[in-house]
Amino acid sequence: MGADENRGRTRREVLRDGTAVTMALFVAPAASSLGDVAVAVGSEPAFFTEREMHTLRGLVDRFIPGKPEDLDDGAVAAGCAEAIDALLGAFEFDPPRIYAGGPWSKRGGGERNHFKRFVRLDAYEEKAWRLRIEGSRGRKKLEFNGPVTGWQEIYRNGLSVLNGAARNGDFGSLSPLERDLILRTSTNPWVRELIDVAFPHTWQFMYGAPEYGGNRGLIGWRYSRWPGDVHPRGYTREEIEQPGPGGGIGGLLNIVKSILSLDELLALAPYAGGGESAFGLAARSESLRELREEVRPVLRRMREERNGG
Amino acid sequence: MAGDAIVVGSGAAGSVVAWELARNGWSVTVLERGRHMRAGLGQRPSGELGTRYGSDEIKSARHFGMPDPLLEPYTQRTQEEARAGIARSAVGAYGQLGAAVGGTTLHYNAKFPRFWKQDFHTLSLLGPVPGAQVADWPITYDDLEPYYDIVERRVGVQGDRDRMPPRTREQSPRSRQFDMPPNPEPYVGKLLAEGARRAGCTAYPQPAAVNSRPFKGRPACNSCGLCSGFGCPINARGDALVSFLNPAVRTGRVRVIARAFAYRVETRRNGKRAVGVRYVDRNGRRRKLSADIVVLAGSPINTARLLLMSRSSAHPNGLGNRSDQVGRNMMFHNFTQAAAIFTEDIHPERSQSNPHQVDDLVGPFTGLEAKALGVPWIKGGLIQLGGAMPLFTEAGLYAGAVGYGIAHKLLMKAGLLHSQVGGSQLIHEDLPQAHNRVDLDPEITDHHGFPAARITYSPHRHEKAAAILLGVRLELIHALAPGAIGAAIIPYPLINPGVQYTAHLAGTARMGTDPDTTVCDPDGRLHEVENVYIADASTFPTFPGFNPTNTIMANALRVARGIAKGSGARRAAEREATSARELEAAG
Repeated sequence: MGADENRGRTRREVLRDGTAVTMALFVAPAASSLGDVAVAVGSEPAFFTEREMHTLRGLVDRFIPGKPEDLDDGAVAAGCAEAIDALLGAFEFDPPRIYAGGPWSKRGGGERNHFKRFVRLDAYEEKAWRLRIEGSRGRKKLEFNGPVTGWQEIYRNGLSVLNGAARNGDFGSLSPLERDLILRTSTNPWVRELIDVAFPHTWQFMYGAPEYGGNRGLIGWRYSRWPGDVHPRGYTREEIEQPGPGGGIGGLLNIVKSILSLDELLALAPYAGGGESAFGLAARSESLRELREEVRPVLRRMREERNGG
Repeated sequence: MAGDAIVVGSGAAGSVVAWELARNGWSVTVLERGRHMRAGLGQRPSGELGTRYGSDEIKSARHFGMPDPLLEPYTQRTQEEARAGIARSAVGAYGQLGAAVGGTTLHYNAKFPRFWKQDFHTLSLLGPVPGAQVADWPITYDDLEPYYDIVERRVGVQGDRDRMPPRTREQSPRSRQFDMPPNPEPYVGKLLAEGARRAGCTAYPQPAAVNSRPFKGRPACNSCGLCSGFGCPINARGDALVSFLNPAVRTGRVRVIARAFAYRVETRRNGKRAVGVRYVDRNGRRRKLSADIVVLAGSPINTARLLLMSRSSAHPNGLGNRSDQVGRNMMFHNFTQAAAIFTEDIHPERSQSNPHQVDDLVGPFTGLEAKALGVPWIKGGLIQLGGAMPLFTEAGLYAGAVGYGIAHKLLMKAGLLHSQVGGSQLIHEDLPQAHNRVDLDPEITDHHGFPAARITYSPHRHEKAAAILLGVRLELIHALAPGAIGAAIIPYPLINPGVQYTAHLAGTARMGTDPDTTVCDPDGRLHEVENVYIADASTFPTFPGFNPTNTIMANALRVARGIAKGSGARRAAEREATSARELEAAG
């Protein structure tokens, strides 16, 4: 059994080569190297070396890109790399950083942030999470269903292979396009394992409670317009019974259905502004036609590539 | 005469059994493989219990309150794979229910419908279906109705009897109005209910074990929307722990041993009486408990596994398994999911989730439409209208669709699924099949070294036919909702050849009067062992398309009251019924 019981599923999930490669191509002109977008956050790493952290930031940046590819910050600024480090070094903390406490944070009107104090694990949970993170490492008692490769080993080896694949030995310093190409084309099993594990970790920390270390400044919740944890206040009757103020996409879907393909929507994305989605921008824009003209060359390149041209 | 009982499992069934036996003077030990999640259990009133849960999706993704799939995997395969000699095609968390003191009810969706009268007579009313083991229940709705009523009074259920369609009232008659009115109607609920009306269906507030006003010292729900899979941060949900287990422990006659994994029911040499249960404690030590009776309530997969692991010279195929029916007829509720896409922000998460119920697709459908699909009849189930999609589910779906990168991020920024899509699900009746079964995996084990449960499962042709026939109507409801610009369905029975993830499980130890074809008698007692009872959904002969917790609790209460006969239980029931009538008369 592998380190992650979801491994098979996530591998299928993350491998959607065609679309993703074309996306990398059309966003590349607007992007810069990681050096410009990386934000150094957090104190000393709990598990990784500084060099590994640099590589890891280069990785999570490709999973959820930030500025300037998009007008909203991405996984690097949200602290996803530091959150992954904290997870892999969970047992360096007391209590281990596996389960945030309950029942609520202060975001929903509570007087105290209970999420900040992590739950003390019992022996069962510690056994499970040490096995998942550290692996079985040849200990027969833990290999009742075969060896378990821990997340630590998957990350360490995967990041090392990524650096080895970089022309300068430094994956994190490569341009977004170069990093994308390595990730999309590598058949190295450690890289495939790394993507299978690290992408779910990245989006979980991007869109999960910030007490785990990611979603810094509630970046993920803000741009996805997710309310987060709302207890103990919850919602008023009016908030429940009436439509929300969002509706940024309002009416757009009609446009989408009749005018825009998914490809076109995705190609429009870099033009979205101010925390607004491309859908929302287009919905309110008087110049949808102009936008379409702008993305037409990009779309042509995407289609040519997809057709093997 | 009251005695000592061991109850395996502390969820919907086990908590009710512990409560009822304790009320009748029994000393009860509850063995629970999960940990304590509610601070103050047994020391404080239920309204004052703490909780380790929160609206925290990372915690849910990390199996909080669940069995860990690394330490306690199940394995799975389809019937076709089994016929091809494939030992298993997947290892993981298929069909796993909660593992915590209080069981899955700590994070269930708390929908609380009753089964219908017709569900107890499916074979008599509709006849057999080739390839399925359709059966009548050995009890009727009328047998269960008083227990439904008692359970609902204790748990606290919101709903509106007056808005239930006539057929629903006729098929699941209730002696009184619900204890609480429905939560405020969410916007998405209004839209989808109108879609149902336009499609010729009737939507009404779905009964839910959630407080819409303060009830028994616990507060009203604030419509956060994160119910299923999440513990309630404010203690507004009526679960097995607050309603039954905590009051039972507070009698002083019930103790709960957490992190106690029961692995064997011991019997006398002749196999006719159980003498106790062996279990592994939190420190990994193997221990034995003795008692006058043993009640199994660990949910269908675990109960079958425990019976099969308890084989002996007197029970060479597993405890109580002379009929070879233990583990068979494993049933899961398949779902057909539907979604309506809107142009405005309908914020479906601001809701006591799935606010409405529609019963127009319950069936049975016995005309040409069924026969044309190759089955003699079709039974569907209820529709839960108006569910929300948590952010992690949305992120996971997009990951599957577009992988990582800017496309994923843009889809998350659009946030379509959590803000402009109203979802629903049709719960399918799953027919019992002999080849859908739980047995012991020959190789994969848990961390103690005990064989993992292996689930062999494929949906029957009936489930696929139901998805085809009823999926169209389900989609129509969504397409006709005001403001909807599109609708879609995901008919899982058609696209998934194996086990769908669901927390609705039944079968594996069906009850009946014939020891050659059933495992338990109508009182839940093993035919072959006079003091071992099964109180969970394992005993269900069929699995109607309704959320099962209310029926699990009501049936567990019936079983427990049967055990307690002779110890004043009948008198207590009469007292309670009298008291209930007085309460109703008092308004």
